[in-house]
Amino acid sequence: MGHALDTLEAATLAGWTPVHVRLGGAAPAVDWALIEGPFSEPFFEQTAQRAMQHPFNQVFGRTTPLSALEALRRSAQGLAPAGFIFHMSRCGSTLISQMLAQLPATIVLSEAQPLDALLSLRRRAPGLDEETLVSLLRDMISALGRPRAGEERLFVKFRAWHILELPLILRAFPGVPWAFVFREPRAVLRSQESNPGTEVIAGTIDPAYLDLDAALAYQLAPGVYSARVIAALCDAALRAAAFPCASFIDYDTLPEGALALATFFGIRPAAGDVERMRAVARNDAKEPGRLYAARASGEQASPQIERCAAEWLDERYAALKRAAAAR
Amino acid sequence: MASEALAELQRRVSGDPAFAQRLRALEPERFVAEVMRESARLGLDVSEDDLRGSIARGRHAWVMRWIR
Repeated sequence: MGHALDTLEAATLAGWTPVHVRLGGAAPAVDWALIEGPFSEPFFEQTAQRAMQHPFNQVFGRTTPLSALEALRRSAQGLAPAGFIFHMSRCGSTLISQMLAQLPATIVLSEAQPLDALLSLRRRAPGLDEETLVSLLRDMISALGRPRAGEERLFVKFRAWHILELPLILRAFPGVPWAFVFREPRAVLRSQESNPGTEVIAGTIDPAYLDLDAALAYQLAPGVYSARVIAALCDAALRAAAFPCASFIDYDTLPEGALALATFFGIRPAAGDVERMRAVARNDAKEPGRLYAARASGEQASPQIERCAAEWLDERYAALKRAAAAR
Repeated sequence: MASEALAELQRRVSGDPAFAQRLRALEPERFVAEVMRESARLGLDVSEDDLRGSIARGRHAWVMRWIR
């Protein structure tokens, strides 16, 4: 990855995939690699990691400015997204994306860092106007969604916090159907407590999204902070609940809910596809090959989780259930 | 830093997607030897040290990606 920025000729990026966007330098830069095989790992980061183990990408990996993305989109348009998946974290969204990946000729981009980096530019580069961000999003999804083996369909699963940028994403991709996946809040809080995701680490999400003073964000107890982040994610989804392109998927309905989502996304899976999708659902979505072991639903929440769920999440969970039932 | 010969090879790979795909398809175990052979065919004197150093730098850059 070491050599200098290319003078770009977009045609030379045929077959190359953006694997990482670096924001730490004077200007953002995109790292590109040649990836063999489908994006079959549960997360795009794992696919990128696999690609970067090959010495070719270590020696010949390329780095370009962001402007390369626009040039590439003009010369080689990727697939238009057929559906977006948003979620409140720890709620079965990875299972859904793995099930959708079983459909033929399908690319599923799962929590790709290059998209995360662009969405974080609003905070990191406050001077950047919304029009530019919209274009960058289109360019990046086009670059990531170029067919590599005859694929015809693209789904994008976003990171949990990206629902906070739903208006921007829908402005870039109006009319694309999307789903918000949710789960009983005590189970989500328990999972975040035992193994916190980046989204519930204070400072990773702009406190303005959470209606929080920046200093206060660091002072809250981790469980309270988690609950407030998840509440903000739910609010962002609920604000758009009336949109005709919106769908709400309850964890309790999985795996059948994922089959219904495929239909919502305009797909009628063949019998063989449904069989493969159900087979995947028997495994742990984040560790394929390992059978999924559900936690006992009657497990008692700690007093703090109980308090946080009651104060910040129960009403929202009920509203999400109503939104799901209304579809 | 990459030698001039390796830098020239990188430029050629960057400019030729088919050539890039051919090198990407190499087995990792045979990568260095095959790339040296390809370089020689192109009249470029890329050494084993050039390639091994570049692999190490690439690996390091990837590991350090979150802070660069």
